[in-house]
Formats: sequence, structure tokens, C-alpha cells
Amino acid sequence: MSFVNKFIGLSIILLLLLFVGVSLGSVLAFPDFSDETTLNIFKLRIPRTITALVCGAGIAIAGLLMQTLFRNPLAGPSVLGISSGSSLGVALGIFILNGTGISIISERLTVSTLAVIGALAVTFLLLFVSKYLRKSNTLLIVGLMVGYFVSSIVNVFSFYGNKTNLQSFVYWGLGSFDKEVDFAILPYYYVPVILLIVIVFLLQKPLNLLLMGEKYAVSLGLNIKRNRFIIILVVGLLTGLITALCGPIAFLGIATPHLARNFISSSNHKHVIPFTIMLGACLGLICDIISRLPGLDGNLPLNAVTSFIGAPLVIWIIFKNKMV
Amino acid sequence: MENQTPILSLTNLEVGYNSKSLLSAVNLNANKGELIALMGLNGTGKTTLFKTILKETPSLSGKVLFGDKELEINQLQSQISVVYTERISIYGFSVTDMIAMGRMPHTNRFGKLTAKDKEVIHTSIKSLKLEDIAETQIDNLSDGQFQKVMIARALAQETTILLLDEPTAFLDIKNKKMIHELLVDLSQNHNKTILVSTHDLSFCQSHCDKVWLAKEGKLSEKLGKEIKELDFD
Repeated sequence: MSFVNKFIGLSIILLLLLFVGVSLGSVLAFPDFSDETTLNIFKLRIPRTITALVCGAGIAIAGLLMQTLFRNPLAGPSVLGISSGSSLGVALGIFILNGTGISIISERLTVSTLAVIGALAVTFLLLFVSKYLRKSNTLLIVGLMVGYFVSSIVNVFSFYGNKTNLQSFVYWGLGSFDKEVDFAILPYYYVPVILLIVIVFLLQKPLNLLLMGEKYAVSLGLNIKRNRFIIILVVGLLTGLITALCGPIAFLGIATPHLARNFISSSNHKHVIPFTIMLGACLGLICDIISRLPGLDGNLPLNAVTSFIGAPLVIWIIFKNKMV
Repeated sequence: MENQTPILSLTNLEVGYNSKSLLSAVNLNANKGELIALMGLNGTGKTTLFKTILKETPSLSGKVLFGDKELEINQLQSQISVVYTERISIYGFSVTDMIAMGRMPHTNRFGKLTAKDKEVIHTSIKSLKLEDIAETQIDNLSDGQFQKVMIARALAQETTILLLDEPTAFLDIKNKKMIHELLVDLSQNHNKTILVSTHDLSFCQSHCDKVWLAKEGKLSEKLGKEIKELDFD
């Protein structure tokens, strides 16, 4: 099957998932067109479905960037400590600022801003460190250590936090696509995430060069420091924004790029980028749909669903490609 | 040969790392179409010299001139193409895809190949007789075939200098011979200046125009046919 046919096929699946995503909930939307259901669709399900679509695509692209930059199949936004940076920002917001009256537009947005700042702080720390490191894999190890370090601070906050704050922090950590459903606030997340995804299309040549390893990439004219800076910055912003909006999302960032490469049997970013976006959006929607299947008492935590789907997927890919 | 403007000049060059000098007072030239072997025992500074030429490592003193100019790292891709010892693996990349990477310095922001790029890729495939495996995945190639593909990629880069860091280190005798013959062909028939680091004495004696010998902190030049095992003692 050609790339075009595969892309059309995925687009049809995406549209179907969008339809199911909007229809599904405690009440099936179709054929029920009551005022209450219509209100429910516009107020809750459409924002939630768009969030699943945008964030699924965004986190998958962040994973792709990291796997290419580090030439490491296990790289993902959570691995570099960037998600932990977001967690620190959220922990600061929930445990320290809560009740002080300090807020930007809303308390929710204040916490999100802190999450983005936390992600960027870790990102820039890594960028600073990367100036002194020649090898990307060393940076990956440093990222892991930064992640552990930041997590330890978060744990201290949690330990001393009061019960209510601890509960909201734990709830945030479980992840969900409907943490924010206010259409007045959502564009603050959607617009930058979509812009960042568009920027990734401009990076396809440097990303392809990086597939050859840094030595060859430099010999072919790649400005390694500048491109590494741009890639890490994009990953930091994407992860910060998405983690702020949905909580930390496990596995989608690692699994989706593998799935995309396997689906099209290519590593060429000209094709891998659009397919990672499409598959990330589809997986985001699938995870969202599973998390709120009718009959479930409340919604399943998003993180449980993404791990449930993502972990076996990664193992399957590893065995399929004889990467053992 | 003597009247030519050198393609590559090492002028009062001192190379090393962390202020530790490995080779000093290097004054050597490489001319168009010359096949030059860089030889020396392990640890004598061959790889550091390559890194210095490629600007991966700064020189301790002196200059590396391309023609009569010093170049920045981001200008080197128009002058030097490189082939390393290690094999790389890229999922889903065919031989043609890999050779096309050599055209990246010539393409636009998106790496879009023009008709001219495709013609150069086709010529490189033909020159190295890779037509039969043009669509084979690079992960399915033998080590010898892979190095041949990497040389084709370097050829597609259309540079005047080809730098190879022990390209036959992991190859068997047959593949070594094939790569050696290929280098001779590229220098003689494609007018490439080739600088290759190797430990293969017979290749240097029979095929190389010059040998740059790294020994005891100095880099000396000999004719290929004059190099002897005793020179390493």
C-alpha cells in the first residue's frame, strides 16, 4: 500500500474515532438529540475529544524528536526529566500557591503555567549541560538523573502537603483529557501545540541527517548545536503544555513513533512526521474512548489506559524488529 | 604535481587534545587526484588529525587550509566528504536513500531532491556498480557492500576531498581489495583527493601516491612505493 493510501486510511479511522469520541459517554449522543445531550457534547465531549486529538499528536511528535535526537528507541518526553519538571511546577502550584490568591486568569491556568515553566526549566538546564557534552546518549543519562532529582523534590512537597492538596496532585498525576474543558482557556494550549507541530515539519531535513549519527550529520553540514537547541526547545514546550493540560501521559510518546515507522516501513521523517501525528491523534482518541467506555463507574485514569496499550505495544515492536 | 595549488594544506599544524600535543610542526600538502594513506601505530594521533581537519577538535596551533582558505565547520561539507569505520543502521533506508543523504548539503530546507540531485545519485550508483542492490535495505547489506554504499554517498556529495577513517577495518580480504580498488579508481578517474587512514602496508606500497606517517610526534611524508615496515620502528 502506498504512503498516500495509508494516509487516507488513517484519516478515515481518525474521523471515525472523532465521531465515536463525541458520541460516547454516559449517554450515547446519537440518536439522542435532547438539549441536555447537545449541551453535554458541546460543553464536555468536544473539548475533551479535541484535547485527546491535539495532545495525542503532540506528545507522539515530542517522542519522535527525542528518539531521533538521541538515536535511542527508548527515548521519550518522560525520560529526559521534562515531564518531571512539569510535575514540579504543578506541585509548586498545588502545594505552595494554593490558597495564596496568586493566579493567572484562573487557578487552573496558573498551575499550568507553572508546569510549562517547570518543563522549560529542566529543558534549559539540559541545554546548558549539553554544551559540555559531545554525545547525546550522555545527555539522555543526565536527563534521567535530573528527572530523579526533580521527582525527589516533588516527593518532599507531597510528604509535607495537606490531604486535600495531595489528593488533587495525585489526581493530576493520573492524567485525563478533560482536566480543562473551558473553550475560553483551551486555545492557550491548542494554538502553541499546533504551531510547534507545524515547526517540526520544518525540521525534517535535520532530523533525517541525525538518523546517520552526529558525526555524519555534521559532515553533511548540520549545525548540530543549533538544531539540538531547537529540537529540545520544541520537546520542552510540547511536553510542558501537554503535561499541564492532561497530566503526565505515559508511553504514547515512546510507542507511537515506533508504530508509525513500522506502519510505513521507513524512518524518513518526510513520511514519519505526518504518520506519527495521525497515529498519535488516533491513539489519543482510542485511549480517551477506552477510559470512558459505557458501563464503567466514572472515568479510568488516562495514564493507566496509555500504559495498558503502550507497554505491550513497545514490547511487540521490540520483538518484531528483533531488537533483543 | 609540484606546480598545483594544494587542495589541502596543513601549515605549522599542531594537533592534540586537552593541551596534550600528539603531532606538531606538520607542514604537508595534498594535491588534486592524490591517494594519500595516513599511517602510524595506534595512539600516534591519526584520528586526532582527522578530527582537526574536520574541525571536530580545535588545533593547538597552525592552520588547515582548503585551497588558500580556512573554513568553518559549517562550510566543510562543500569540500570534504567522510566515511567512518563504524556501520550505522537506519530502519527502512534503502541503498538509494542512503546515497541521497550525500545530496543533503545541496538541497533546500526540506531536503527535497531536484532533478540534478537525482541524476548525481544515479551516477554515483552507476559508478560504484550498485544498480542491483539500489533498492535493498541498508540493514541487509554485507559489511563490504555497506562501505561501498557509504563511499557512493560520499561521491554524491560532490566534494574535492574524500576522507576515510579506516574504512576496511572490519572487512575480509576480498572486500578490502574491492574497497582499495575503488579508492584507486576514484582518485585516478574521478580526480578525487583521497586521504585514508589504514594499517594495510601492501595497499600503500602498491596503490597510494603518498603516505603520511605519524611517528614520535611528527608527521612525515613518503612515497607510497617507498614505505617499509621498518619505518614504523
